[in-house]
Amino acid sequence: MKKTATKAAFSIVLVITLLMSFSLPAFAYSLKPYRHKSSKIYYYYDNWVGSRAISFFSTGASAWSARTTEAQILHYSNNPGTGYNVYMCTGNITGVEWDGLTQTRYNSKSPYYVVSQTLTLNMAKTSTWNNDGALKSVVVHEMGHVFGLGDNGKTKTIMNGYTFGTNSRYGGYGLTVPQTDDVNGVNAKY
Amino acid sequence: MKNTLKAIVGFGLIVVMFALAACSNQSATDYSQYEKIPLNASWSYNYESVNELADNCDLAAYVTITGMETDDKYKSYGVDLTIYTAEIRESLFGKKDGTIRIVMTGMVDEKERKIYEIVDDPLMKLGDEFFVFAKSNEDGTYTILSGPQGRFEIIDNMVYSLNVSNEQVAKYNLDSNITISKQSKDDFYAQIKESVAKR
Repeated sequence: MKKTATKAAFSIVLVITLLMSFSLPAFAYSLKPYRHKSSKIYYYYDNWVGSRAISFFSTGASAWSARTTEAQILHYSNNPGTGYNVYMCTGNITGVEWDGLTQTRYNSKSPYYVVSQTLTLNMAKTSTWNNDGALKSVVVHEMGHVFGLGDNGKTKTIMNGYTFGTNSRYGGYGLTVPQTDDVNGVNAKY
Repeated sequence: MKNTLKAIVGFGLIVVMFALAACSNQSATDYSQYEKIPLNASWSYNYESVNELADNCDLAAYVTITGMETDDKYKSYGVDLTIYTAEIRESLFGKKDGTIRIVMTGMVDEKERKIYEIVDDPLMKLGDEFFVFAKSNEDGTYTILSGPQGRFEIIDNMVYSLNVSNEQVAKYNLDSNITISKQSKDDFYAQIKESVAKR
């Protein structure tokens, strides 16, 4: 009698555990402490930024907007002032190994709202800059950092931190748009 | 007259003491109190192995950091650089001895008490020692391959990739194909020598 009861209890616990593991979402995304106050995040670029970069900023923002329901990155076309959240630029930056970089200043107290951000594309990394797919992959990746996502290991997600090479975001997996896990990360933030 | 002399000597001593205190305070700067401004990078290339690093470097050497200066030539693009002076202790490939200058993204702003650094590629400090795989730049400086990937620590004759030995890198660099923990220095060096011999 006692043995049967133990077996039954064990089975119930096992079934509940299995059900929970199937029903819970798989959290692979990584979140930064910061986020923007508004779910509408405006980016701005100066008129010296070339047409190639401008085109890819727009393509990157659209790639997120097409998949993200909770937050958007939008072009701020008015006179700058203080109305934008992210400054986008390009530079021919030699002596570094990155093709995209996002610098974020945020409040030191919760909820850690972003004060300012700068997203820089590196034109000196020609393997990326001259490759449409790779460049889009980098812009979309850096915009993930703009939202507040962190790098995401060797996963098949846009937040994978490497552009080329084995297990990389673009060279390895061919990704140029946010994946479900990336979108879930943004939606968890906003 | 004697009293005046005593006063001058006393004042001089106080000045010297203040100067010494200021110097010792500077050398013991507590960077943990500085505000960190995070930089998040998309690294261009994920190296597969130590052999691939060895195949693609211009320098494979164990170095000690002996100097540092900021370089603000790209500041208008939101990018600060630090140029480190490093002394070559042991070289397995490339420049054999002397000093090199290593470029890194990020900087310590002493005035504003802020540290700008790539979250998975922490800045180096004076006295730090690393084994680095680096490529040479046109201006004579060197850049470590793929940031944290090309930098290794040797502790008690055992080699560790930075994403193992450095807590911050371990937290933020989960993407690297290279993870080395407790490989003997002799094995590590033999592996590199074998690789570079084929070049």
